[in-house]
Parts: sequence; structure tokens; C-alpha cells
Amino acid sequence: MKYNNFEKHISESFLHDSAAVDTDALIASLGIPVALEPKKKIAWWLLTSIALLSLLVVGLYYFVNTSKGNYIEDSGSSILTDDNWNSNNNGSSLLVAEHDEAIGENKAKEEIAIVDVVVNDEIEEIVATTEVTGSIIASDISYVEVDTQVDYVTNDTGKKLDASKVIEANSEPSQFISTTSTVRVSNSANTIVNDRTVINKEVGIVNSAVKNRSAISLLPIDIVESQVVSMATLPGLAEPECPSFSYRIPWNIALLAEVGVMKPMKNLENIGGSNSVFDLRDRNETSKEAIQIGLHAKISKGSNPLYVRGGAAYTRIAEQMNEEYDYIEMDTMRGLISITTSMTGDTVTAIYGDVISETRYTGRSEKHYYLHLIDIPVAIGYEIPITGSFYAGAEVGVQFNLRTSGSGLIFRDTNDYAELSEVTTKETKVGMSYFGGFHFGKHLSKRSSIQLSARFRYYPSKFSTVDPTIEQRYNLAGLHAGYVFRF
Amino acid sequence: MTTEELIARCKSGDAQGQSCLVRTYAPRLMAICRRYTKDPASAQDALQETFINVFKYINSYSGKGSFEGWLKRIAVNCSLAFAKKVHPVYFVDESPNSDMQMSEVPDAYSNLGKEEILNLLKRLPESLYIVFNLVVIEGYNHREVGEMLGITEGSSRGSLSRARSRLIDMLQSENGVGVNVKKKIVATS
Repeated sequence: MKYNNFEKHISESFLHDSAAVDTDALIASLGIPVALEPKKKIAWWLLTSIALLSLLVVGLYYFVNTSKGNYIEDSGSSILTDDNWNSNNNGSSLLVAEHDEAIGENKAKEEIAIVDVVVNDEIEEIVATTEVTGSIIASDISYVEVDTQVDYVTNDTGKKLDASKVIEANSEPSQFISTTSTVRVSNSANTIVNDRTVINKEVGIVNSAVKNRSAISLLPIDIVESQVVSMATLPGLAEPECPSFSYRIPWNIALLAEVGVMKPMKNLENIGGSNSVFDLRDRNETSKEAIQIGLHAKISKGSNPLYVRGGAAYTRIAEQMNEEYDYIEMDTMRGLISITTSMTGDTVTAIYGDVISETRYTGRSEKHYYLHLIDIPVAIGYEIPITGSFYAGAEVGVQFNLRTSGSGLIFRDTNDYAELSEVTTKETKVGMSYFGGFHFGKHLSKRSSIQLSARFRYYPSKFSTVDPTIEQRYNLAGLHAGYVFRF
Repeated sequence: MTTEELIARCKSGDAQGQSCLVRTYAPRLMAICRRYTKDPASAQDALQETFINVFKYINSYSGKGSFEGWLKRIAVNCSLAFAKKVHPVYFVDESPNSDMQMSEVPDAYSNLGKEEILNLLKRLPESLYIVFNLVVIEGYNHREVGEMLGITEGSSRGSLSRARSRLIDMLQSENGVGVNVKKKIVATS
């Protein structure tokens, strides 16, 4: 093959040459604001649309469900009488009364009766919600279920009503007190129907006989009499029910964000024979610093000083190789190497040939490489308050390494550095390490505090990366500053 | 987006246009930077420098000539500047001695891949390697090479001639080693 064809082959080989580049990192390093790519924009719009649609569906669902009833709100009147009840009722099966309104006893009875019997014969149960205060008096009540702030429910037949969720008025005393939030009433004429078949109605009922004394004078006499009857059977006369208490010791959960600087204590060991790379690294490679950032959760129970801490941490260990280089590059070029003149002086002979030149290069350089570790630390600790808002603690723990990677240039041969990220023999995990330390902190508020920790970390595993005959081990000691937020 | 639109958006400082330009041309320019630098990290630095200059001087691009050629020229200049920063490269001013074009080289070399060719070329002295790259691979003429390297046109020709000569020697010889490099590291005290 002719040389010019070979040269043509070279130029064609590199005609459309390209190399892999991390363009995102490059764009970031150039300081170009990240613009949404068209695909990402589509995804963004899609997600937004789905979110809005979901919101709309949920909103509609609640709107439809909460609009099922046919409410009559009678917030204006303070007392419901036969007249205004009838005028407000308008055939509706539902009554909503404001808190400060008074509903006459007979009205309450009648209303419930009307609701149950007149408006809809099939309705045997009424559910009352909304901060009912006072008594509910109804002669035909046979089934009561109570929720919040209902003081008592009276059955004017004088039969005891139990404060359990379901009360059969015909066989129970007429009063009870409850702090639950829903009142269900059904008439005594019929047996209690299944909840599923009952059309529940929401009724806010306030009997002003107790709460609004001024309204009593306006009430028909039979209401007052009825109230007297109900007063005779005040709560407390009935069999008391003792509430059961269970005290649960609360869990304390806190988040700890930490930043730390550590001094790596490296130990290089040559486990092979004579190794000039080891000698040079041992002499010229110095550990710079290790930095760590972490986010942890601390859990303790009650006032117990023991706690458990777990989280995630990133550590970077920096190494520096100091190098002085001194080398000679020998090169040859075509040139005049000799001129000879004949004895007679009439002939000059020039001899051309390879002229050898030497170039000496000397200098100093520093090369760095970094080890990156992602770990899951888990620790158990003991923390106690000291004076004022200060506290102190100590902890021990283990750290599980998820990933170890390297970057930068590591000295590999007497005149060669290797890109650590490209070295195939590097280990990707260093396994488990142990750490211990103590800390001091200061509470800034009820929820937050700052603390300073001193920790020592021991790695039993080696970090050897390039040369398997060189064992590289670390211990780290350093200080960590942290911010604690308690939930 | 056409190249003209891309250029216009970059000239107006549009971030999306700039991102698009980087994504489109970075792989090709990276290949150039890698040819002139010693290691990937230096190549990346050179590439970054290239784009900084591209965005800095894009308003001076008049539209005459190929845009990619303009970008390549910046990439080459940045890579050379970067390489010179690491250690200086010396060019010997000399005239070509003979034409090697018709010399024979073993046929086996016609099947060499890109990496193998690059490894072969990198065995040339750096000054010769650079000139060879600029002329043979990038396609610049000697006047342009002279301008880029700050040498005379004749020196460029001479260097290319020597590069060819060395290359032929390397190809023809079994070992193919044309440069003896003796390098030693002296430990710091």
C-alpha cells in the first residue's frame, strides 16, 4: 500500500469523529441556565393536566356528595315555632339550625316526629351533627347515636337512655351525656331499621332551655315542663361509666443535618516485593482532607436518654501526589552533520543525516485523586441535658458502605498516572466501618438545636484501587457541625 | 432548528439555544480536544474553554464559511493553548527533505481503527504529531497551520515531512519505535 493511501485512510477515519461527553455537566459548568427540553415540557404539561384533572374530579365528587341533602338553613330565627317550622320546612325532610337557636321541646319532638313520620314514613333515624349543645327531647325516640357536644338526650317517657352508640329508648332511662359528635334518633313506633336502609338526615339541634335561658320565657309551657322533667333526671344519676385511659409514651423523632471535616489517617502497606510505585506513593502522596455531609433521623422514646440514629452520608477523601519530574526527550531531525574539505581545498563534502537532539524537562506537579463514599450510618447513643439549654451525648455505630468510587489521577507506574474512575480493578464497596464519638449541643428552641460532634471512624477493609500489592487503609477523625429539628 | 436559527438564538443569548448548540456539537469537538490533549480531564477543560470562547465570540461569526469549521478552529486553538500550558512544544524551523508520498507501507495498516491510529500517531514527537494532525486529519493548509502555531509555513511543511518520514519508519520497522523517551520521577524531599 502506498503511504498516501494510508494517510487517506487516516483522514477518512477521523472525518466524522466524535467522543462521549456529559453534556448536562458541561452545560452546567458553562453556567447556562437549564431550559426545559421539549420532551420534559410535554411531561410537565401532562403531569400538570393529570393533577388538575384529579383535583377537579375529587372536587366534583365532594361537591356532589355534600349537595345531596335538601337543606333549609334557619339561622335567622332564635326560636322555631310551629309556624316558622312549617314555613321553613317547605316539605323538606331536613332541618339545620344554628347553635344559638332554641327549638321548643314539643317542636323538637314534633320535628323529629314530622321528619320521621310525616315527611317520610320510612325514616326512622335522624343523624345530628354540628356542635349540638343542650338536650334533645323526643317522645318517640327509640334509637340514638351520639357524637360531639351533645349534653344529653331525653326521652320524655322517662326511660333511660344509655350513652352507648345505640340506645333503645323504650327500655332505657331518658338522659345521657355524650361528647361524641353525631346524634341519631329514631322513633319508638318502629323497630330500629338497618342503617343502610335509613335515609340519614343531618340536624343541628339546640335546646335553649339550658343554654339560652332568655328563650325559655318564650317557649310554650309544655316545653318548660318537659325541661323540668328532664332536669330531674340529670346526668350523674345514671350509672356512671368510667372511661378507660391508656397512656402511650410518645416517640421523639428528629432530623439531623450534618457537615463534617475529617483528617484521614492513611496507611499504605506493601504486600508485594520491591515496589518503586509504593515507595514513591508512600513518600510523596499525602492525604489532604475528608469532608462529609449527612442527613440522619434520630428516634428516642419519651424521656429515655437512649436514641437510635440512622441516615445517609456522603464522604470525600482527597489525596495529593507531589511530583518532581526530570526527563530527557531525545529526538532526531535531518541536518548537516559533517563538512569535510579536501586536502587541496577544492572539494567540500557535506554530509547530511539524523541530528540527535535532547530536550530536558524538569518541573513540579501535584496530582489529586478523590475517593467518594456513600454510606448508611446507624448508631445508638445516649444523650443527657447538662446545664441550661445545653446537652451532651455519646454514640457508637456502624456504617454500611453502599458505593465507593474514585476520580482524579492516581500514580500507577513510574511515569504514568491512571484516571481512577477508569481503573477497572477498583473496588466498588469498602464494606462496613465503625465509628464512635461524643457531642455537645444547644437547644435553640423547643424544636431546634445545634450540635458539634467529634467522631472517629475505623475502616477494617482496604481501599486498594490500582495496585493489588499495595494495601491502602484509612481511619478518619474529625468534627461535625449539625442542626437538629425535632418533630 | 436550523443552524442559522441556532446561531441567531445563541447570538441573542438564549439559554435554550446555547444548550442545543452544546448538545449538538460537543461530541465532535470533544473528539478534537482529545486528539490534542494528554488525558480526558484536560480534554474536558479544553472543551469547556472552547464553548466559553464560542459564546464569547459568536457575534463575530459572520456566516461566511462553515459554522462547524469555525467551531473546530476554536476547539483546536483552545486545545493547543491548553497543551502548551501543560508543557511547551518546540517546533524546528526547517525545510522538507523529500516527499514520502510514494513510499510503501505494509497493507495491514489499512485496517487500523481510530484508536490504533491515534496510538500510533501519539508515538510521534509532539511537535510533529500536532502538525500532522492539523494537516492530515483536520485538513488545514500550511499557511493556516503556521498561523495557528506561530511558525513559518516552511516549518509546518518540514514538520509534516518529518512526521511522515517517522511514521513510515515506524510502520516499516517491526517495533516501529521512532522516539526514545527516557523519563524518571524524582521524589520530593
